[in-house]
Amino acid sequence: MNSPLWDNIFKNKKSIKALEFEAIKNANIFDGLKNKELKFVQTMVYLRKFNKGEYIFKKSNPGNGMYIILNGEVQIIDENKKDQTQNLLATLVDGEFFGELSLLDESPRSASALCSDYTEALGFFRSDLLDITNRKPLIGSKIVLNVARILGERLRVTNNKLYKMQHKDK
Amino acid sequence: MMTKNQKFIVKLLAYLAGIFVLFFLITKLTSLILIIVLSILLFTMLDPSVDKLERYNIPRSLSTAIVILSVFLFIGITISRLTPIIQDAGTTIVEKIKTNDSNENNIENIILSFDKNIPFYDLSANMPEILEKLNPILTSAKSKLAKTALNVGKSIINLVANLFVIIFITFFLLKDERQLKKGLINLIPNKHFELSLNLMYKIQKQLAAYLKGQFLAATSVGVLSTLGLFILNTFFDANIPYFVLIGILAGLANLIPYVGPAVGIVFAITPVIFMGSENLLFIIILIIITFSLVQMIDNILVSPIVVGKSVDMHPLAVFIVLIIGGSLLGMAGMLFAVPTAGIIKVTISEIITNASKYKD
Repeated sequence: MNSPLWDNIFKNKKSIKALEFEAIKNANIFDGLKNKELKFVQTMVYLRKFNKGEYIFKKSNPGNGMYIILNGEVQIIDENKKDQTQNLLATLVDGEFFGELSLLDESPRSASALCSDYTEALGFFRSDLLDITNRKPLIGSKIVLNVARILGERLRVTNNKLYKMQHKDK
Repeated sequence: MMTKNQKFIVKLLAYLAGIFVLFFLITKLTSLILIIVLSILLFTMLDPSVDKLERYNIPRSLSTAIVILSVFLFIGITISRLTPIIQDAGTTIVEKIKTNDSNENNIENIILSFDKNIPFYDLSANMPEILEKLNPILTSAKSKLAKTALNVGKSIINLVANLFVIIFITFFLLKDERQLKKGLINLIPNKHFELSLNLMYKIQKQLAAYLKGQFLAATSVGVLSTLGLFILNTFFDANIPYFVLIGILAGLANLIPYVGPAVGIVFAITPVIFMGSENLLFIIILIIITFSLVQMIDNILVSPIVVGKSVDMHPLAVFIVLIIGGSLLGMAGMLFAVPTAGIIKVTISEIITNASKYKD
């Protein structure tokens, strides 16, 4: 068991698990969760590997959940099929997450997520959130509150932008 | 490069080969498939209970152990309570079959009771002729019944023997649900990953609701049948033996749509005929009325509430499914054919509904 091959395999597996835990811990959607609770959440997420140029999801697909980037780069693009145009909305890197709105309902994705590099991401889905709420209601309610808080913050920012735009026009 | 027609032929051949392999596997590995299907059904039924225990901060392994032990206890108590009754009923019926004159006595009883209740016909005047015609029919029916009872007995013994394997598999399905699901999902390519995850969730949810409904409906039919037979025994002096066992069997038979209720009536009438009674015809009519009332209550009040419409199948589809189940696995096949077809129906309808949403 002391061969370098086994050492490498176990080290690699261990480091991925540690990376997963760190990514979950740093995502503010899991704020306020204790280490034990974070470990429980870790059992509910899926590690997915995407090649460069591969779509994680496409615009208007049913929304099922969110992704946390472990490593790699993801572009959020607003694609218009009619006139074949693409509008880059954001470029996300390690530790950042996207698609969290889909944790609440199955409404279609508002943009596409395209990997601009080899990417490893953790998927966390509505069905798993419902499962958590059913099995560990305390953890579930903490996550739902965090989603609500993030959405509230976004709504405030959007309101401010709208307010500024309206006043600029005047 | 293949033309469109060639591609279609290759696809068709591949599908046909797939169906052929599937049928080959089903016929060769029927018992294994039955064990797996039963384990999945049991897992789907027990999973909500394990989840509920987990809510009280009981670890998953311990929650699973508690639920599985409760199942063992329930099965153990049921078997220990029912075995003497089944043995007693079996011995009595076999003794009655062995008695040569029982046929004539029973037919005579039916005819006498018919004459007593309906005065316009004098059937007893033609008694010897009727006996001569009916005796061979009844004898062959009895031997067939004895054979069927033996086959059912064998199926039950097989089922009990396999029960330990089923519970063993169910235990690990419950305990390691997440790891197993993750392992399965890891095999799915990225393109179909979200669709598959969504499908798995929806299918499991619908199946759990369907099984819960079926279980509740079967329990209600079992309890109502037992109560009905108890009332007949108490107020109409029907003297129906083993009415609790008959009630349980009627509840179980109710899991088989359309055929089940009729089987329930047969379960109740058979021992009455074998035991012989003065008012045989009157008791048989009372039993039919009781079971019809139980079915009415089930169809009007219980089933619409507890059994969801999601797995509703066309009666013709149900019959075909029952014939396939029965020819593959006998009684057990008939019992589990409809839930299995339910899984397949929910899977296909969810794939069709969801796949179109994931198209580019």
